[in-house]
Order: sequence, then structure tokens, then C-alpha cells
Amino acid sequence: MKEYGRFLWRCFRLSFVGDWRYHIWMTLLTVVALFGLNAYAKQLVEGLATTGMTDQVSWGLYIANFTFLVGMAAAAVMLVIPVYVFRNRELHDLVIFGELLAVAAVIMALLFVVVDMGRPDRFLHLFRRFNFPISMLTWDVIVLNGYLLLNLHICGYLVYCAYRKRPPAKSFYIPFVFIAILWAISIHTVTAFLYVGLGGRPFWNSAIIVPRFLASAFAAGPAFLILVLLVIERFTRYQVPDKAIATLRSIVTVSLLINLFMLGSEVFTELYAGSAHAVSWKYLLFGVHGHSALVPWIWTAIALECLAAVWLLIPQRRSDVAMSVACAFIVIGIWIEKGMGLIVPAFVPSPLGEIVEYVPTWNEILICFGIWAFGLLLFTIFVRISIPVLSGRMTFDREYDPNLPDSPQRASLEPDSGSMAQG
Amino acid sequence: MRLLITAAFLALFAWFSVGSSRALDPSNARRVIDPVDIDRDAARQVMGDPPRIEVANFEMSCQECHGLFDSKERRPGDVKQHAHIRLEHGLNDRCHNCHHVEDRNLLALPGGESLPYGEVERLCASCHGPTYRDWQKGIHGKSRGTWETSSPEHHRMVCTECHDPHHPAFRPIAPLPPPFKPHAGEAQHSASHPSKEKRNPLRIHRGDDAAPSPAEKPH
Amino acid sequence: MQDIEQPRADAPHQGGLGMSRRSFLRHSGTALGGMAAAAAALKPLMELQDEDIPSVDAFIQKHYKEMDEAEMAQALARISAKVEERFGIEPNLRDIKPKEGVEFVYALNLSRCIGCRKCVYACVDENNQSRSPELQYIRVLEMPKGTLDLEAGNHDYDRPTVPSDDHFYMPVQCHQCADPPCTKVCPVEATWQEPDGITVVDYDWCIGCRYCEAACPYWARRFNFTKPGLEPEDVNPDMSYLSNRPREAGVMEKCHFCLHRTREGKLPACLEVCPVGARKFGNVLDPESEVSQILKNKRIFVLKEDVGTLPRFFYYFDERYPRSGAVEEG
Repeated sequence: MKEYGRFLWRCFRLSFVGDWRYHIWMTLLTVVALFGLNAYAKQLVEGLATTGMTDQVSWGLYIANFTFLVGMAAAAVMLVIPVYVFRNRELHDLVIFGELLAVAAVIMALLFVVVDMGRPDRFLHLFRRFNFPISMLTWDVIVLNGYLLLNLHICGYLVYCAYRKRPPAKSFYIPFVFIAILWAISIHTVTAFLYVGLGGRPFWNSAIIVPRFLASAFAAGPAFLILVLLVIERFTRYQVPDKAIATLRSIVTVSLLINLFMLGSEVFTELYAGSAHAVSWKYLLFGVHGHSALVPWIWTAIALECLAAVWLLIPQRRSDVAMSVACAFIVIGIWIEKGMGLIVPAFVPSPLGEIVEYVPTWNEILICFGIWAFGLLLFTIFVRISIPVLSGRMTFDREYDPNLPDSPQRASLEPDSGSMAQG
Repeated sequence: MRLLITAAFLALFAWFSVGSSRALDPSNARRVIDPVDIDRDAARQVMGDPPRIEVANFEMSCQECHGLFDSKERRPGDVKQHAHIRLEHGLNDRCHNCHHVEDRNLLALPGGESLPYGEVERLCASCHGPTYRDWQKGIHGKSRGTWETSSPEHHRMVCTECHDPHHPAFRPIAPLPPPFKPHAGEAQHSASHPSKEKRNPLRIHRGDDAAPSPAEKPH
Repeated sequence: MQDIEQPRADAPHQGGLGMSRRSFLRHSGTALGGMAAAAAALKPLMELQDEDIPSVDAFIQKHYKEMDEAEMAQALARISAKVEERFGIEPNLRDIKPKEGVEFVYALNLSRCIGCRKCVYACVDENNQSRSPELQYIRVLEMPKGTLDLEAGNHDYDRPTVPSDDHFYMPVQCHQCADPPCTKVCPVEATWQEPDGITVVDYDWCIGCRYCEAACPYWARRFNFTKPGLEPEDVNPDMSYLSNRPREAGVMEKCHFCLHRTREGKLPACLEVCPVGARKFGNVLDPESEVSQILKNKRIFVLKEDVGTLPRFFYYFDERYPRSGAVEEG
């Protein structure tokens, strides 16, 4: 126990160690996070009237970000499938990054839910009277927190084992890994069910939204992870195997194509029949009655995704810059499509046919940036800690020394005593 | 580097300390409705039984005067004394369609049978049968007191408590104001909202802003 | 990749990460700066007023269904004290239980409604709603004749007089559905349906997630996006726990059929003010009630029947006589 405490303290100290670029990045994130905190303090005092939400559009940017981040969290565990199911040893190291990203994403998602609540001081009511299993929100609370604990356990255990230079016991993490694979699918399915189960919102009441969620998550999540890996490769000693990027790229390509296909099917289904249920789609794509605030957004998203799909389909050698651009396109496009393109149109028009558009306020946007900054801060710290520990440069019997020269065998995260993950 | 970061934090500290603690405009825009417009006890003044009016500070029943002179066969419009009454009641064109020829304290059913003012609904029923049936069941008209129909406090409002017998169709009235409409997007309202940062989407229409006329609405 | 601090050969004592005492001081200076900035970021919290911070009693208060009489009495006392403190008015606040053998149903005659909106404002007057920002439970739609498509409805009509000849008027409020989608989705059961059919909200339990507002097909629910603006002259002291006691920021509310009146036999405010008798209310379990007669004899319909919510709010047409078009004096 005391050893674990010392481990945590050393991790804490390690998170402040880095070169000037690291410090600038962390300071920037801290500043943005503090702006978000300040904005949230204002929201706590004055209520959600500081946002752009109204009775007509009662969910906005917060829930949009929540939806996107749940998808990211689910997809981050996608890497686990090729590694553990298909026994692809080269990608073992990436499991950790994927799961750490999942942890950061889930924390961000939970924070977005908290800032969206009108009475966060009453969150204990969830424990005192829980409307399970009828309310899908209760399912979501369970699966998200369970997922967080699952991933914290897996990462924490593997990292701590590397720190203690002990081979991790399979029974302590392999079953959890397989549970995490299934659980990842469930968190995003449950989140989709939140929306899909509402008969009063025909824009959401469509079965294809559930697989669309998964497809877009599995496009955006690995794309984000590719970006993260490219950054890690650039700024740390860790070498990302080509195979990893290639695998992720395949996942992204297939998922993106499926996502675009499903989007096309939805659009056709709604617009061909032209029933009254299609109003929200018309509002999103073309505008309705002179209201068209979301139209430029959705077309930008579709364009970005299509461009990225085309680029990814062209077989070519790995080119970092172009790859980054494509991945960024995908992340941004799917963020728009899932966020503003899924949450807001369901509220326009209102169930009584009233059109009130939604524009987030600056306070709301600041809070969103603040949570993203905080999440990236957390993730950076996670990576900052896990690379040295997993590559054996900081263990219980060795002080961390950044100046230690890198030996060729240390290119991967495999610690000194054997591989960290036993098949 | 360390200095830069510390300076950044101190600048942030200063910014937050000095900055506003509020994101919303403190607005007291509130609509005040005249209580007269939502008076729940509003009802027509009905004639008593026997019907009484006030003439030159004296309260007398109708027959007290009408018994003194002949006022048969008058048409509405001929009569100077009841000039404020303009009869607009379907096919009715004479006073005596409803009022008893001999005794003005009574009403007259078709066929000549007299009827006290207290049973005016029977007179209405003599032409408006289906409406009367509905009224008896509580479908037409209004109830007061309680929803419990078996309770003695349940009071069905009588026809004349809502309808003016000489002009039974309700006259159009001015509606109360439409709801404050939240608007998004600055461009539409920049003129009336100089403070962009503190825009509160819930209360765009202040008391001094006129609601847009129906002609401007996209519908 | 360079660390910031180069370990100095002559430094007296160095910690695990190569830090000297001087650098430690410098580090803590930055850390202090960061903490100061974080503290200043929280400065807006100083604007919180005492009455907005929940008391311990309120914090540990149980769910409505779990409170026994003593606990309810305590809660009522706490709320009454708060009302007195805030408005200077002593309320008649009680918890009224539903009557046995009663299921409330509302019927609305669309041939009669003239769209005057008196019901909207009578409701606001009765139920201590926020005036600033404005919160109204009832929304009247001006519909063109010939369609029931709600999208064609105009919510913002503002004519010199109503009714307009080419339109009919449809007020919408909570339908107290028999299969409510809103109560299904609440994660903490802050809203549920009572035995007499009224869907109620426990304002002290709601966490403000607004899932019920997303779920309602009739846009019947309202959220307090900020602290309700209520002046003492607006307050109706006749209150009950589940209906019209003053609410706080961050909780949902909606039409509750004026249960503080109707559970004591009286009529809801919207019905009482209606000048044309378009509204009907009563106990559908009583075959002699007005609403039972309407359901038996009139061609009633409900909104969005295909969604399957089984509303207890029935509309019907009853067109008989032409309206008088002109406004006349006298």
C-alpha cells in the first residue's frame, strides 16, 4: 500500500517534468480549464439561463459533446479487439493508450453531464432513488461509470505491474479486457437508446441511429487516436509501429464508409416519403421557414467526411501530414454530425411545431472548452506517466532520469523483464 | 519558462478577480396583466325574477311601468326607451318572440305559455333543443363551484349568465399578449440588443419591444 | 527532450527528480500562482445567496413517496418559512392526497375556444410561476381551418380581436397521459403519476437533467433555467407541496390540473376564467360527470394518438352556429 502511495506521488511529480513545449501545452490547457471553471461558477449562480438553451431546445452543446465523447470512449477500446482477439502482439502497447484515452473521454463525458444538470447538488438522489431499469439514463449512469472503473483498473494494473517489474497476472486483467470490449459497445448503444426510445421526437425515433452511433464512434475514435499517436511519436521517444497506424486507418476507413452509407440511408428514407416526420431533417439540411442556422454546419461535416473517406481509400504510403489532416477532418466532421447534427435538430421544430433555433452563448462555449482542456490535460498526464513506466525508465527501483539514452531495444514499451502483456 | 507560466497564472488571477461575476443581464422585464382580464367571476348581470331595472333612482319591476300603458306590437328600433337593445338573435325580429305580450315580468314560450324569468333556459330550449340537451348534461356552457356534479355546490351557469339574449353570439375580444419568444442568432436583433456578450436568449422581448406583427412571421 | 532543471553538482540535496531547494521554491511559486488563479476563477460563487444554497434539511429530505407524515410536516414547515422569508406572505401550504375513486380528465371544445389566452394568464396567476423569465404552462395555437397539423399552428398571434374567422384555437397543456413517456425516463423518479391521474413533480427531488422535457410529445414541461422571478404581489398563498409552491432554479414544472384546488373539489383556474365555456373538467370514473357525458356523446380525439401516450386531455368540435364577425359597441 505504501509502495502504491509512493508510486502515485512519483507519478504526480513526473507530470510536471517535461521540455518547454510540454510546459507551454500544459499551461495553455490549465488556463483554458480555468476559464471554463470560471464560466461554470457563473452558471452555478445564475442557472442554465447563461446558456443558449430554452424550453424549446432544452439540450444543446453539453449533451452534444457528451454524445461525441461517449463514442470516443467506446472506440478507444477498439484497439483491444485486434490485440486480444486476433493476437496481434505488435499492437499490445497501443492498448494502454486506447484505454487511457477512454478514461479521459469518459471523465469528460461525465463532466459534460454534470454541467448540464440543473441541480448538480442533488446528484446523490441518483443513489437514493434510482429508476432502473425503466429509465435509460440510469442504464447510462451504470455503464459509463462501470466502463470508467474497468479501464482504470486495466490501465492502472498494467502500469503498476510494469512499475513493480512484475509480470501482470492474466486473471487480473484478461477477463476485464474482454468485458471491456463488450462494455464499450454497450456504453454507446445505451447512449443511443436514450434518444431512440423517445416516441415524441420522430427525428430520433429511428433504429438506424444506434448503428450509426457505433459507426461514427469507430471512425472518430481511432482517428483521434491516430492523431494522438503521431503527436506521441513526435514529442516522445516512443516509436509507433507502422502496423498500428495501418490497423487504425483500416478501422477508420471502414467505419467512416459505413457511417456515410447509413447517413445516406436515413436521408433517403426521410426525404423521399416527405412525411411530416421529416421536418427536422429538412431543417438540418435545407432550413425550414427561413430558419437555417445548422445548414452550413451539416454540409461542412458531410464534405469533411467525404473528403477524408476519399483520401483514405487511396492506397498510399503513410504520410503523416496528410494523415493528420484526414483524421482531423473526420474528428471534426463527426463531432458536428453527432453533436449539432443529431442533438439540436430533434428539438426543431418543437413537438408543437414551433421553431426556435439554438445558438450557444459564450459562457456555454467556455465551459465546453474548459472541459475539453481538462480532459486533454488528464490524458497528457496519463501518457506522460505511462510511457516512462512501461518502457522501464521509471520503476520502483529506478529513479526517473530523462537523460537516459535510448537503447535500440527500448524502442517499444516492453519493460526489461519480459513483455508486459502475456498473449 | 517558469517565470512565463507564473506570470500567466498571475494575469489569470487578476483577470478573474476583476472580471464580472455574472453572465446574464439583470433584467426585470416582466409582463403585468390587468386582473380584470383574468377575473374568474366574470359573468353577465342577469335580470332577477321578477326582472327589475333602475329607473330614475327607483328600482322597479318591468310590469310596474308596462302595466300602465300599451306597449304591444312594437318592433325593436321603434322604441326609444330600450334603444340600447339591438336585437340580433337569428330569425327573431320582434320583442314578443320572447317577451310576454300582457305581462312584462314574464317570458313567453312559443304557443303562448308564460314563463318566469327564473326558468329562462326553457325558453332557450324551445328553439335550441340540442344545445339545451348538451347543457343539461354539462357539455355545453360553464359550471361553477366544483367538478363534482352530485355536490350541492355544483352550479350550472344559466344561459343568460353567458349569453346576452338580444345578441347571444359572443363578440370578439382582444386577446392577451403572446408569449415571450426566445430568439437565437444576433443578426435579427442587433438593433435592440446592444450588449452582445450578455444576451439572454430567454428574454429577448423586453416590455418596450413590440411583438412582431403576424405579417412578419414566416408562417 | 530536456528537463527544465539541470541537476547541479554542488546542490546540497536532490530529490528523486533532480530538484534542488531553489527550484522547489520556484516550483511552488508557480504552483501558488496556479492555485490563486483557480481560486479567483471561483469568485462568481460568492454571488450565491443564502436562500439559494440548500439547507441541511433540504439536502437530506426524502423522496415524496418515502416521507411519513412527520417528515412531510417538517418539509412543509421549512418551505413555508422560506416563502415567508422571501415574500413576506404566510402561505397556506399543505400536502393534499388524492381522493379515492377519482380520475381527472379534461375536455376542450375547439368550436368554442376563441383564443383569448385568459386561461394562460389565469394559470400563471394561480400557480406562482416565474414572471421573469416568463413561464407559461398553457400554449394556445392558432390553427388554420382544415388541418390538425401542429406545424401550421401559430403561437405568436396577436390580432386586435379574436377569434379570426379562418382559424380555430387549440390550447395545449400537460395531458396527464395514462402512459406517460416523461415518467418513464426520469432517472430519479422525481416525476410520477398519482392515482387520480395527475402527473406530478417533486420540486425538491428533481435534478434538472431535462430528459422528461425531451421525452414529452406535447411540449408540456417547463424548466427553470434561472431563479424564478416572482414578486410578493404575484404570490398566491394557497399552495400545496406537489403543485404551486414556489419553485427554485434548476427544476422542472408543468401543469398539474391545479391539484391544490381540484383535489379539494374546486375547478382549475384555466376553466374558471374561460369566458366561453370551452373547458370541461371532472372525474371520468363518475358516469354522471360532465366529462363522462362528453366522452360518451361527442366525437373526441387526442393529439398524436399514434405515439401511444393515452392522454387524458380530449378535444372535440361542436360547430353549430356562425360566429359574429364584427366588433360592435354597446
